[in-house]
Amino acid sequence: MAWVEINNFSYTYPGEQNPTLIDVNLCIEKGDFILVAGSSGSGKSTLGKALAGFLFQDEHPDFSGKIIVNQTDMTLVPLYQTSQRVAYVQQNPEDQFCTLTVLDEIAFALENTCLSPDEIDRRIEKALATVKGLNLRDRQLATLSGGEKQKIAIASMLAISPDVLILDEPTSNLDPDATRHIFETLQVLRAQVGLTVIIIEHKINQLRAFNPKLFVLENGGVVLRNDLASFSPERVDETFEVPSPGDQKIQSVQPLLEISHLNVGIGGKKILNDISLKIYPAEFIALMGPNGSGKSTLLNTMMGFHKPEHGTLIGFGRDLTQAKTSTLVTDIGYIFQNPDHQLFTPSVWEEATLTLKNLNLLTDDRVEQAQELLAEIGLNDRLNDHPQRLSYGEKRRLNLLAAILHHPKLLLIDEFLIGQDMPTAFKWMKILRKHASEGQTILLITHHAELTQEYCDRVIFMDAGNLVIDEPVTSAFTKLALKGYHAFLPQRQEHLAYA
Amino acid sequence: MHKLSYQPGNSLIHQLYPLTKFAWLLAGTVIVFIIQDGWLLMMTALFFTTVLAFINSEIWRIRGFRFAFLTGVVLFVLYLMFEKSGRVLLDPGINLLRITSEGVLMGLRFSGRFLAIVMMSYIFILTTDPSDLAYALMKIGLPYRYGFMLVTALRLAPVLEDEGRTIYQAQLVRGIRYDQANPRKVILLAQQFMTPLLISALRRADKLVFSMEGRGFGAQPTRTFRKRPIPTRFDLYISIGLTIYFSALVFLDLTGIG
Repeated sequence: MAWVEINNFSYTYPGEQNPTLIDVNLCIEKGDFILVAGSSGSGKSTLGKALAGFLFQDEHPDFSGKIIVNQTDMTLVPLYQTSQRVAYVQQNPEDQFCTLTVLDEIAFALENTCLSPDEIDRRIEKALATVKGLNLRDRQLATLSGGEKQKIAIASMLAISPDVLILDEPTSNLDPDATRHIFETLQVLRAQVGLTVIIIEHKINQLRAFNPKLFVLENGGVVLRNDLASFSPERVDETFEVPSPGDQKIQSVQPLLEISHLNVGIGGKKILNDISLKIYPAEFIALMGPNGSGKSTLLNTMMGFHKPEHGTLIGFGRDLTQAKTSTLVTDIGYIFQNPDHQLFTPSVWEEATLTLKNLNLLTDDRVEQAQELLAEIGLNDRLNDHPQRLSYGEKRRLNLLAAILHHPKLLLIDEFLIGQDMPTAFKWMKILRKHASEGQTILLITHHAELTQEYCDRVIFMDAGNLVIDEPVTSAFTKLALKGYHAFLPQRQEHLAYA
Repeated sequence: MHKLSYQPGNSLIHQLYPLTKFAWLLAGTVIVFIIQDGWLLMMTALFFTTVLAFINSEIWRIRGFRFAFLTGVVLFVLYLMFEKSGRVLLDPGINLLRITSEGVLMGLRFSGRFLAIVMMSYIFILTTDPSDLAYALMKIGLPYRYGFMLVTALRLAPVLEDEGRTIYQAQLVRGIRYDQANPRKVILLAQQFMTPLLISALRRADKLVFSMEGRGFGAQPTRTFRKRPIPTRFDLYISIGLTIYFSALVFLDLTGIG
């Protein structure tokens, strides 16, 4: 009998009409390394939660079929015993942590199962050693970087000695370097511990080296693909003509924004160090760099959320360091990372037109334009629905629409592509490219090197609060390679690292 | 400005067992209410202010400290100005500025009591990891389900604070003006602020439940604890020292020697 066996499994979420998973069949052997891929909303996380036994805790869960892990039917296991069979590492470790320190977090499950203090300590050391995290032993969780948090989330599950470890997009919030470290940790688990690992991921390219078995979720079912080496998520068809990015700055025109020797500190800690750059109209700029390099702080400073300690920020004919955020809104749009944090009103229509209303720009022309754009993004039949009831993709579309309807000259976007599958990410980049070509300047924080190379005009790369590179795309990646930022290069340009 | 919260450190007070500090915070608070002598109370306030300054040399930069300190000073001044009974100590000819012995003593009593409690509380908060306190309380018998209410609250509070700040900023970039809101609009703004925050909090709580229960929380009537610091001889020495100090204060206060 297989180590993990899923037989004709279907599942429908409470309150939903259509099943998310339909007749899923899957066999996994002990020690297998499984990669589960599929488009956003295809049911990957649902499959992970089903395997972890999380979906069967309601009084009357709507499912059929069986999920057997090491001869245990997971549909019958009480929640408090699930992680001893299948440990599920959530996408965001912040959602998983329930204590405040590394030691407490790893000890949590062990203390709950009443192990002796000696045994708890032994398992903590072993789990930390496995994820190469012994140096994190005495740290507070709040002080860890994103990659370190994910390591501790994994260690806290390893300490339970589960039969199967599931990781749900563990690297979606991480920069390429931290992503590589997590994948190397998984390789250790596979090679040294022999654990059965199931990883739900969009970053297929970076996992090819581990030679995993690839399962792809399509139309609610799951298909085993034996063509991992050549497998590439399909690109979306062109729906409109997208102008190519230009490689040269438009030096002849006045810059939209000019930053000079900008220094920003928060809570006594220096975050931005002597940043100088110019942003021109109609540019599509990728702002890249490791987690914690100061990218979001730069955007927040442009938007007036942080006052610089030193330096100037001139844009739209005034000194932005002295301007209130409320007075910048007409010129600058801002889209935050989490769609849920920027949906305030009770209906899609009110949400789309909120900024226009607040700026007293809700004219007949703009109303008509709002209706047209809502139809274009497929939300015209949901105008009265609560925005929080939309799907993730629909929320993102509404976020973008709400940020651009008042025609800001500059659009700041923070990590918009997180958690998006590649076809969707391509689609978004095309939409943003189109806006840039129509005259809007876009500054996008992203870790997607391939998409940046294909769609952006320019790369600004930051590290530890310093501006490291500010170049047109092609030369930017060459210089990144020369400076040793190999993890941030597009896959097909990795050879530059060794040039 | 720094938040008023636990700040890791290696001071002697940091190394005390959390329950020792908690017990002395409670005992100290009770004792400063028993003592009525203003000079003794002000001396106690100065003593704990000195301890606090040794623990954190930038205490002025801790949020709320200046306000609390000034409140203590203002209390003293108010009693000087409005308590006119007792012997006259200084009379510049203006009634409000006439200082009496009772005004000084009352000012010292209430200001000293207030500042002593504030300083003791600051020492406790800045040097005690709240999760260590929660675990210590659980080890001495607090049911762990209640103990973890404190731990998870401490865990989620900064996360929700961050999310609240992001939501506020996201509102500002959509042209929402808090500085131009009338009372009717304030209700609408509060609703627009609370909706995403509440939804986010509920989602987090939901995920946290799976994370905790999935790892066996609540399955057993009791739980074990990993090896943690226990009271040491140093706790004993400090406790003896504080017992002598507070006993002396009470003795001096009761006998009127102070």
